[in-house]
Amino acid sequence: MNSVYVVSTGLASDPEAVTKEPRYRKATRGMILANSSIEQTMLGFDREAVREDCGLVLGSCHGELEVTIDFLRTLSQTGVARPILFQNSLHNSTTGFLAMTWRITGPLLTVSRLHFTGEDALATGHLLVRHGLCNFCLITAVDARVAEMVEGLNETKIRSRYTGEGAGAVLLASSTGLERVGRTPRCELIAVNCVNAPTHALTDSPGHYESNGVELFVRALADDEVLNNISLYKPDGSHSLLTWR
Amino acid sequence: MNKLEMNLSPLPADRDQLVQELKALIIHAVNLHHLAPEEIRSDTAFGPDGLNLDSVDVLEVVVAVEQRYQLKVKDAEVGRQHFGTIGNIADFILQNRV
Amino acid sequence: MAVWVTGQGAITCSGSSIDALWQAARHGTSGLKDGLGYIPDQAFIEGRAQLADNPLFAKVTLPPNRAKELALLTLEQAVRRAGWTELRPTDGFILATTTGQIPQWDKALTSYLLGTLAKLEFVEAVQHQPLGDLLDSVCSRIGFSGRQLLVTSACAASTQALAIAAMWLEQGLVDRCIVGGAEVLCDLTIQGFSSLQLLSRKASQPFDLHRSGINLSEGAGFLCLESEPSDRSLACLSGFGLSSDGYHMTAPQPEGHGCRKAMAAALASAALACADIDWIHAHGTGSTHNDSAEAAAIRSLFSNDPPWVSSSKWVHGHALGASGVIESILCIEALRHQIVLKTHGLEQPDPALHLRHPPTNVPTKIQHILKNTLGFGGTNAALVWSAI
Repeated sequence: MNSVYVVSTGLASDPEAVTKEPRYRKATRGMILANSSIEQTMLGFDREAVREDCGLVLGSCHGELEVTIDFLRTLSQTGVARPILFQNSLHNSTTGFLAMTWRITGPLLTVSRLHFTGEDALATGHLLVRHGLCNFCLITAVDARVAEMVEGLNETKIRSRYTGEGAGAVLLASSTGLERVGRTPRCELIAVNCVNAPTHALTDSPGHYESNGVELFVRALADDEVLNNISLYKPDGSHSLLTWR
Repeated sequence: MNKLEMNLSPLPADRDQLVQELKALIIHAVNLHHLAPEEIRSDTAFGPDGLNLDSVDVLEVVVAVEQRYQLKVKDAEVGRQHFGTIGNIADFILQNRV
Repeated sequence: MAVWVTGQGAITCSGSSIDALWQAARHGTSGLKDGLGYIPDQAFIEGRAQLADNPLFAKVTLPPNRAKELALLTLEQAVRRAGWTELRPTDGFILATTTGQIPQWDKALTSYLLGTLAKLEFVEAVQHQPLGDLLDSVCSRIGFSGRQLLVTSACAASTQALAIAAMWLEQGLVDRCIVGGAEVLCDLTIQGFSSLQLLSRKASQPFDLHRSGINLSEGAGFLCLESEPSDRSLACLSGFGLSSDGYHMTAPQPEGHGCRKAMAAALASAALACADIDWIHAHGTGSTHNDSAEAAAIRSLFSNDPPWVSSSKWVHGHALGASGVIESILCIEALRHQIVLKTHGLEQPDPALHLRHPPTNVPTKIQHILKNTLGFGGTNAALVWSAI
């Protein structure tokens, strides 16, 4: 089994600044957020050297909910099913967009598990590299704010998972991959474990987004050089434990 | 002009006006807002040599045209044959409009 | 590599059991009506009766959600067949779905837009949109607390789930693993696939010159996997390959480059050569582009001596994320019965595809079957199933 290293990390930038660019002509807010986190991760890397041998794992709790609502709205109000909206409406539409943008040819997976979504994306990428399926793997976890839900929640005061948004990304590599790009790793990722709480109750957590596990991992690596693990506690009392060295 | 206004406005009187309206409709349907209508000619190809639209973009254009001009494009074959340029679409609409 | 299947369950538009599915595939009975494959009510009734009869599931309350119920009923079949009397914290559980939660909230949205539902109720319904809710609900109902994952990579989802389970077992992350897929029909997929001009109103005709599109269907399949063979073993998952096209959101790369890469990786991980494969159970959806890209990939990889190639989509339709596991179950049954299935619905083979179609169901020695899937987003996954 291969050792798995974190080579590089990135966070999403403000989508408003780029949303009118032609390359984002058919992109959703989630696609733009996720892509910007990958762009930051890949800064300074030879894209070609990486992409030929690179997998991509995307995590998203809500997927493309805003587009799904748009598709169903258009359908119910005008009877018209719009092809581009459908094409963009699935959880793995975001993944497909990123795979096209970065011309990924390795394993391409989409995972979704409430507040463990980010952790599952990391764990799955770790699994792929460890197993030798690819020497690089991009991980990103994203959720985009859904205007309709935020507005509805403000009015109805319902507790919810829908208030925040964001994306984080990580590039993982095997030792072969590290050699190929001539990089020293930030750390070796040892394990990602999730522990469910016995009950699942929603609590208020303004600005939180469900798939924030990758972003919190990226921030922990940036904030503290000597740290070698973090526990991420979830609103319902469950938690995850990420360890590295 | 948003989609609703376009649907309520009277249909264009001649082919030139129709072509102008189609440019706006297509820019809106497949989000080509980075282009000005003058940059699209009636014979600009939709494919890689022109607007670089893919097959799903063309389906989106078909849906928008069907809705605006109250006609039905029968199948993929008709779509490909008549939805290669704005000029093609204008001719198709003029032949099929009730 | 090798991991072993000890239990399997399926509920499809062909009925409430593996046997119903196998008989339909063998004798050419299509579960599709007007181009769609709904699971008959009777299948749910039979499933509920069986569930109540299993001590491990007797206390499970069935949720008012079609996909969750479907997952629980099918899971029960698999666990019963495997002879598992308990679920352990060291077991794993991987679920694949795309549409599972949509019926929880799509009608509420429409009613809200039409003004017949209050905003409060609409917002509450959409709270159940996350797919993780489906996995969470199934696991908590059966009291399962071990390692879990939900894969939602469209049509390749459950094939990928099986590959991940194999890696979990090989890396010792779990001792045993449940893998399943469940899909239901909803407006989003029916109208959506229709808008892409991909749906056929009649039963699909994979690889036919006149093929006109796919059939969406409901269905669930579950497998119990173990890392060691035993007298309960039904078949062996001996290889997998995963790849991406990086080409288009909804169309496969025309020459099937990604699909070929996934098949080649599956053969390599099984340490097999092309000549070892007796039959390719194709994705074969009956859409123009899928079948031609998949055929190109097969021709390119198996240049000299292509094995039999067939698809069973005419029988059970395309259950999207669940299709990989449902069709894997047909591969396992074919290995057990030593029969290569023909492509039902194929009348006039498309000569451009150059595939070797079984003229009829062929009783023959089968050791290895390659199972292929291609999905939206350019996701490809292939498995090798081997006889014990």
